Amino acid sequence: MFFNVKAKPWYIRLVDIGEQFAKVPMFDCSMCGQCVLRSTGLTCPMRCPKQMRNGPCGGSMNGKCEVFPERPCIWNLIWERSAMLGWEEKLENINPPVDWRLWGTPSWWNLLTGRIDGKGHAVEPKKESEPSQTNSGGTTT
Amino acid sequence: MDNKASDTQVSPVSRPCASTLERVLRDRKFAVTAEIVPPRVPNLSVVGKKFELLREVADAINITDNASASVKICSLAVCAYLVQQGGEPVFQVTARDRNRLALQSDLIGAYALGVRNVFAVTGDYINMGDHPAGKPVYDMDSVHIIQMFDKIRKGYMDSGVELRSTPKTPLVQPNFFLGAAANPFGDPMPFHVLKVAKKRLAGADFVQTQCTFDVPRVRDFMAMVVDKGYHERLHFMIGIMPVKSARPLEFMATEVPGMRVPAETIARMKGAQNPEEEGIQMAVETIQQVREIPGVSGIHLMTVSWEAVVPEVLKRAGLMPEQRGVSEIHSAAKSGNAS
Repeated sequence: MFFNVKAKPWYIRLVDIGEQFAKVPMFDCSMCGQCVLRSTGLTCPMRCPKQMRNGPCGGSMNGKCEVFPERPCIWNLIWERSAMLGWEEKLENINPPVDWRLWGTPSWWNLLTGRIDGKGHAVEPKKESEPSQTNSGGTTT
Repeated sequence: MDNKASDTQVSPVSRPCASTLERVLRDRKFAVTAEIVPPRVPNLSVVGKKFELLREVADAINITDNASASVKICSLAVCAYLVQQGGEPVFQVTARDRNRLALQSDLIGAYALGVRNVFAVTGDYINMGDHPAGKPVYDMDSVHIIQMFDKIRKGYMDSGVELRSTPKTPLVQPNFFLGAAANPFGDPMPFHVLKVAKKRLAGADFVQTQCTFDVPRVRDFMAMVVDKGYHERLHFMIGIMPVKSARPLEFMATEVPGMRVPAETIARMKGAQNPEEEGIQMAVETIQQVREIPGVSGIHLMTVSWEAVVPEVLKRAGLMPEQRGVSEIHSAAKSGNAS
């Protein structure tokens, strides 16, 4: 669906490969391009089938996922790990919705170019500037 | 964006009253909402019959949005029909079937048709329903939808585009009553309380919960809510489900995610001489118990397809409109004077 993001210049691909190498095996990263790991107890919320970014859905019970009962509820893991790390307070902030223009791009690059902020929240690109990296379709209305 | 969900200072609601349901809750009367699940067959006569049973006794009627991820008549169409009939619907929207464009266009469409209550949820996952191969949308989660809808109330779309026809016309601020879901039976409970707080921060006005069979759990949940003071801005309506037999209870205990049905409740229904009567009695007892819980401002009756039981349950629980003191609000609404 998001195949247009595959067309990236070589230097972004290098960052992309580096980030995938580090994050996919360790966090089951989806390369959403707006990493919020640092506020979710180092557990990726995009592993949730509903891709919830603000807490568990109503079906989270006994630490199990409602959609795939054999899997753990990611938000239950986030809760436990945040408590372990002493990061409970970070769970009180509302994470904004995903900016799908960044899907499939490396967060590291986006952070470097100011497309996301320190929390991993997407920053609206400036209209007058040249559309930076990857797909910028949809910036104009 | 840096506001914390647990902050106690939340700006008071300054908008005028949007609906009859909001009037009832603002006047601190005990509110009652019911629910209609739209039919799959494209014919609204069934809805009409169900509505006749509920119109006099409930303050508002929730219309589910492809409940359990199974295709039904769309919620918006049934809401519009209820408005035509002089009813007060609560338009349920899920994030499963709509991206942010569809969510917003359905909302302003509903508003244009006279719908004044909206209830936003993330929605059951698509593999639970009749089209498991479909693509679930989940462009946003429930907190985001509430945030976005609250922004629309202020006159702006999610992108910041203003709600006005030309640059010279005034900003349009559609005033509606915004609801959210909560599940006191989910784990971990403090996180579910925090999620309610996030929804409050996002702009929710009322909360309807998953159906209750385990009252002590609701008591614990509400104690946490009251302790944090979230009930001062949010009206909590506790979900109640009267059942006809033990079978749906067993099904809910094992198959439906996010529900807790104690074994003794199932045993009680199984051992009943007259299961229907026992089901009504159990619902009435649950209502009486949750009514006593501090912070509870109403109930939400989910009857699946047993709407006929609602008047009986309310009569026995002492919650008919005249007993709740809302008859005047209802008649004022009928004469077109909701706020």
